[in-house]
Amino acid sequence: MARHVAKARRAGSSPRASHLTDTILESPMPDKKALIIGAGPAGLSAAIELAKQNIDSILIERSPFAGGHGIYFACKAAESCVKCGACMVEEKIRDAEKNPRITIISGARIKTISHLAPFAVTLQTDGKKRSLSGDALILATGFKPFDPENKPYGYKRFKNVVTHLELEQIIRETGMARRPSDGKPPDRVAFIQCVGSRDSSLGHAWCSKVCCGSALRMAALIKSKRPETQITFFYIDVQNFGKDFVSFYEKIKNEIRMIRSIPGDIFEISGQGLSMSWFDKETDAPVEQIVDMAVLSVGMTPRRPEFLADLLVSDPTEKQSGNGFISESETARLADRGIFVAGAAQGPMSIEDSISDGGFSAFNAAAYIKKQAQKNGPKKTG
Amino acid sequence: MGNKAVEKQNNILNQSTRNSDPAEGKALIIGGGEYAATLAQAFLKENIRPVILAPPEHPARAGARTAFDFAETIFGEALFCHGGAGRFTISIDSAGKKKSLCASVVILAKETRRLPLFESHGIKENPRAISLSAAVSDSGRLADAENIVFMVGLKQESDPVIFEEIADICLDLLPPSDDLPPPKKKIYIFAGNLKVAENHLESLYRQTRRQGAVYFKFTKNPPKISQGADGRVLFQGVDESTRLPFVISPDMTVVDEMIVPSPDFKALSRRMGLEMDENGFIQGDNVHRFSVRTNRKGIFAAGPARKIQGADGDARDAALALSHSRRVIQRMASDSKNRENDGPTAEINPGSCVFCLTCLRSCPHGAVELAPNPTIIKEACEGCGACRSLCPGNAISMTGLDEGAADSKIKETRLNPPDHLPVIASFCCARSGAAALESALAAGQPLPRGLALITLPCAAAISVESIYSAFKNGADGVLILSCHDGNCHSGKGHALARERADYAADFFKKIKMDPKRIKTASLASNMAGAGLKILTDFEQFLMTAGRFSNQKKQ
Repeated sequence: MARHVAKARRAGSSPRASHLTDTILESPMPDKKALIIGAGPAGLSAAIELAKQNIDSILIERSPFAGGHGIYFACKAAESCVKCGACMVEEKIRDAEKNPRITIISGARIKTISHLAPFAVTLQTDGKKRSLSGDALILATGFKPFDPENKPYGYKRFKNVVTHLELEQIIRETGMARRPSDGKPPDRVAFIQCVGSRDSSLGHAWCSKVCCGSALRMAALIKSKRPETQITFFYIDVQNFGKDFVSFYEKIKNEIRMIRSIPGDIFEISGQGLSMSWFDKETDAPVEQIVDMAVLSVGMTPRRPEFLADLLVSDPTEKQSGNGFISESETARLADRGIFVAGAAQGPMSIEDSISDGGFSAFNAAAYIKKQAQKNGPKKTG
Repeated sequence: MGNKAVEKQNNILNQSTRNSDPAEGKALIIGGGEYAATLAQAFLKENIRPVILAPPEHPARAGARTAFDFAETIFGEALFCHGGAGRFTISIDSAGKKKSLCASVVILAKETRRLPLFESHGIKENPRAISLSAAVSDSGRLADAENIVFMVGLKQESDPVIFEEIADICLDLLPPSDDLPPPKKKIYIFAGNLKVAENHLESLYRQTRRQGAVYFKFTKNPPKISQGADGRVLFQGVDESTRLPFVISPDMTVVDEMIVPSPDFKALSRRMGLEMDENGFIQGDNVHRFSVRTNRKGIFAAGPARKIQGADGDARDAALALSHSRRVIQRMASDSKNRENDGPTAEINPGSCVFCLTCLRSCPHGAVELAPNPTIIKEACEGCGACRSLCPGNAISMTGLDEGAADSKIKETRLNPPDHLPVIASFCCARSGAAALESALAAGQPLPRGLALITLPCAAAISVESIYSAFKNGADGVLILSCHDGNCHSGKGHALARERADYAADFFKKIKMDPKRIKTASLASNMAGAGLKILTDFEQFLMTAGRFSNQKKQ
C-alpha cells in the first residue's frame, strides 16, 4: 500500500482524537470547568459544545471582544448566500453570550500557565490580576495574518493597496468595496493571491486554504453590485471552497480576468492609479495594468504567543516539520496532558472547519475530564 | 479517506475502556463501507447500540466476512423514516420483505465512489493506462515503468484528496535523496489547478519536486491526448512556463478520478425528506448545517456522506455525529418537560384541521406525521412556522409565540411617535434581520422612531394575514427582513416570505394602493449597517408616500 508507506514517511500521523473514550450517558459534571484560550470561531464552538455536555468553560480572549478574525468578515451574499460562514461567527458569539455555562473574559493577557491538569492560569485584564483554574485546557489561539509590508506591493505606502481582510471589513462596514483614498467604489480592482502563502522565499510551504474563497466571493459581490467594475485575479492555482465550488467558479471565472501569474511589484502613478506588471505566458511578453485598488490575499501564519512556548514541549528526537503551526504530533502529546488544540492554531482553517474542529476538541476535552473524574475516585454527592 | 479514518478511529478506540452502563437508544447507521463500520464501533463503545443498514448487494449478505460482524446488520433499503429525534421509525425493504425498525438517531454514512475519467480524456483503460485507484492499490504496476504521467484536474476541477494520493505515490516511487545518481524514472504530473489546500500538501508537493517529479500546469490549452495501438498514451502540447512544445509518450499513464457521492442518496433524499447539495451529497448546502446536521433533527450526515474531505475531517465528523447522537438519547432519557423546551413549536388544533395536508407537504423538517390526524412531532419541529402561515384553516398555533404581540406592538408604535413619522412594521427573522438591527442598536446607532420590530423565529412564519393586519393596526409600511436565499435555517423562509409579500403587494395593486409599501429584503446578522440603510431608505420612501390611512381615504 503505497499510501501508507508514504504516509508513514511523513512525521506526525498520530491521531488527534486521542480521548474519544467512554462517557457515561447521564453525567452532569458539577464544578468541572475547561479553560479555553481564544474566543474565535473554534474557541466559541468548543465552549458551546462543552456547555451541551454540562461542562462550564471560561473563554480567555486577548482582544476587546469575541469572534476572532471572523468578526470583521463581511456577508458576501449577492443574490443569495455564498456560504462563507461569516454570519456563523456572529451566531456563535450570541449563543455563547447567553449561555450561563460560558464566561468570556476579553482584553486579557495571559501571564502564567501551568503545564499539567488542573490548570492554573494567571492573567491580566484592565490592570487587574486574575487567577483561574480548569480541569482541561483548549488552545484556540488562531493565526496571525501575514504582514505584507515587506513585499514589493507598496502596502502601507499606497492607500489603495489593502489586504483581503481589510476589504472584508470595508464591505462589512459600507456594504461595498471602496477605495480608502476617497471612499469611492473602484472601477478597476486587482486581487493578488498567495501573498505570504506558498512562498519559498519566506519558508512558507503551505497554502492558506481560504483566501481563494474569500477573494472570489468578494469579487462576485462587487460584480453583482457594480457589474461595470473590471476585476483581475492573479493566482497560482485556484483552490476549492464550499460545496458549490464548481458552479461558483465556472460562473465567476467568466466574469473577471483570470491571470495565472503573480505580479512582481506595484507602484503608484499619480493621477492614474496603481500599476502592476507581469509576464504573460500566452503572448510571451510583459504586460502592464493600472487599477484603482489592489487587494492582497494575505496568508495565515502561525501565532505563537509567549505562553505557548512554555506549554509546548518539543521532542528533540523528532524532526520538526517546522512551519510554526502546532503540529499533529505536538497536538497528540498535549492531549495526553489534558490540553487540546482547536482551529487554525494547527494550520490554516476555514470558519466552517474551525467550528467543527472546536466541537471536536470539546468532545475530546469532555471525555478527558470525565475520565479523570472517574479515575479520581468516588463520585461527588449532594 | 476511509482507510485512514478507520486507522485513526481504531487507535482512538483501543485507548478506551468499556463502560457498563447500558444506554437506551439505538443508532441506525446507513452505509455499507468502512466508514459505517468505524461509526458503529465508536457508537458501541459509547453504549449506543448501532444497527447498520447496508445495501442489499453487500458482500456480507453472501456470507463474506466484513468489517461489521460485531453489529446488527440489515441488508436493504430505507423506504421512509417517520418520527423525530429520539424516536424514529424506519421502514426497510429487505429482499422484498418489509421491515420496520425503531432508532433514536439516524446517521448517513455511505461512502463516496471513484469515477475514473478515462472517457472524458478519450483514453481506453489498459495495462499502460490505469486509474488512480488501481495505482494506489497496486503501486507495483508502476515500479518498472521508466516514464509515468499522472493526470490531475485537466478536464474537471480536482480535489486535495486526489492530489495527496498522487504525491504519496510519487514519493514512494522516487528515491528520497539527491545524493544518489539521478533516477532513471521520470514522473510527470499534468495538472490544471493543483489542489494543495490541505495541511502539509504544499510541502508534500515541494518534496515531490525535490525528488524529481516534473509538473506541467495547463490553464487554457491542455495537451492533446491520443492513444497508440499498444495502449500507450501520447501527450502533445506546449509547456506554459517555457512556451516550448513537447511530446511525451510515457510507459504508464495514471488517469485521475472524480470523487462522487453515493448514487443512493437521490432516492434516500426523496424518501426521507432530506436536503441534498448540488453535487448529490445528502446535506443541504447551508451554513446552518455545519457540521454534520441535516434539515431533520436527529438525522446526521457524516464524513463521506456530506462532502469530500480527508481523514481528519472524517474522524472529526464521526466524533461530532456521536456527540450529537448521545445528546439526543440523553434528552429522551431525561424527563419530558426538559425535552420539549426548546423554543416555540407548532401545534395543530384538531377542531379546525380539515386534513388538507398542506403542513405535511410544506414542513422543511419532516415534523408532521399522520397519526392518524395530522400531528406535529415536537422532537422534530424547529419552530419555523412555515406550516402555520400556510395553513388555510388557521388551525396551527405556535407555543411560546404571542399571537397578538405584533398587532399590539404596531398599535403602540402608532400612538407613540410624533405624527409626521411613518410607522414601519418590520417582520424580522430572529437569526438575521432582528439580530442585525439589534446589533446596530447595541452599537449606538439609532433606529427609526416609528419602527415596530417584530421578531419571528423564521421569515417562513409571516402570513399574508399578518401583513394586512399590520396595516389595519396602523402601519404605514411593512418591511420583511429575512435571511439571504440559501442561508435560511429552515431552507425556504426567504422564498416563502417573498411569495407572501408579493401576493399581498399584488392585492394592493388591485385595490389601487401603493404596493411599494410592502417590501422584502434579505440580510445577514453581521450586516448591521446594511440593515440600517434598508430601514432608513424605507422610512424615507414612506415619508414621501404619506400616511397609509390617508391613502386609504382617496
